Amino acid sequence: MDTKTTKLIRLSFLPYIICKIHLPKKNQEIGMTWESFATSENIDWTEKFDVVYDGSIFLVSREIDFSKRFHPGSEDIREVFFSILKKEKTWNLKSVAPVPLRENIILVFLVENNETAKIIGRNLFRKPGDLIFFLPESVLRKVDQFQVDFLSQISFDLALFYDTVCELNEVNTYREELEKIHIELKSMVDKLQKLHFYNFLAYHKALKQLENLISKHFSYIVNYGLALNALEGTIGKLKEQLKQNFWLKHLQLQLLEELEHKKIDVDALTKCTNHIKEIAQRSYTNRITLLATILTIIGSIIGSLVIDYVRSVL
Amino acid sequence: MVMMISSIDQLKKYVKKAFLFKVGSAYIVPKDITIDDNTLFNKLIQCLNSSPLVVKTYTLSPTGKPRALNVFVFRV
Repeated sequence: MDTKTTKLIRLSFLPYIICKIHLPKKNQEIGMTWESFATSENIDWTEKFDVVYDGSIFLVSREIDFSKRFHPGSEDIREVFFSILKKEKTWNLKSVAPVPLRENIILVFLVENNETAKIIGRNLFRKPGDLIFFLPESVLRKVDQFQVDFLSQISFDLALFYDTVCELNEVNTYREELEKIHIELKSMVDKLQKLHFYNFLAYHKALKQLENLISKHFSYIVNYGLALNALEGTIGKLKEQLKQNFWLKHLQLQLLEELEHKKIDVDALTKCTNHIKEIAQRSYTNRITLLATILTIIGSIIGSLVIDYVRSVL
Repeated sequence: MVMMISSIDQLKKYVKKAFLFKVGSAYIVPKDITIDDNTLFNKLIQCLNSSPLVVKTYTLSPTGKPRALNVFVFRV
């Protein structure tokens, strides 16, 4: 499946689809691997999962026993869910990593009394990656309605996050390509300088290749710059959106961390490419000058030989 | 407000229910863009129901949102 997508069409269905999935423990391979590393015997396994889906964004929900260790099971559900969707030939399934998000969102519904009043409405990170919200039990009249409302409250901003990841992938593709071309350029100049003077054909072929590579390089620099500007604009917009999202604002640091990217110094790269261009031009001029000199000498020799010959005949 | 604590054992007796939510992306991109929304939606339901692991499938709208089928298409 394509996980490095750069352009997407995103559908969003209303109403949402809710799937009740029963996944036997023996089929939860990722969970079983996790269990083999877990030391505690007291693991809360479940075989019942709910998936809420709008055609683009999905939510996997499972009930947890708060007194036990638990494995999310969401990676196994992701595999099952994706394999079901991939069976249909009407569409292509595309996904943008990270799927699911690394963070566990844990919703704890508490009995309302004087003691819990202090904590209800607050949230905390029990450990990095586990974001817990404490909510009053009264908001959980219907679990499925809560799940659907939750997805509705995050889907737009989460989709914007994934769109931004797509833009980041585009920037990274240009960056990787630029780095590759830059290495090719250097080796091409070396090759050009090592070519023997008399090897005209190979020299001209290499020179042509170098010219094409330089023009490709400049076009990638432009595309990279444009994509980078667009990405930074979208990240700015995403920051604003996340700040206002009741649930996702607590995950903004983690989400923005996913969008960190290595930048190329475009000015330095352009200077370097211009330098390579100059070397190539100088090498070409030197060769042409040398060739012209040699031809002049040969011409003079032939000329004097012809003059001598004509004189001797006359 | 985010706070860091090492133990929440003291709260366990007050927990009515607890859920773990995980979210991710799974874009279905129709091969034929002229396909109508209802057909696509029905195919999606059929596709999900075709798996023996899927016990039940139904639809539900978020509170305050329309109950009739709506499809929003975003081009990125």
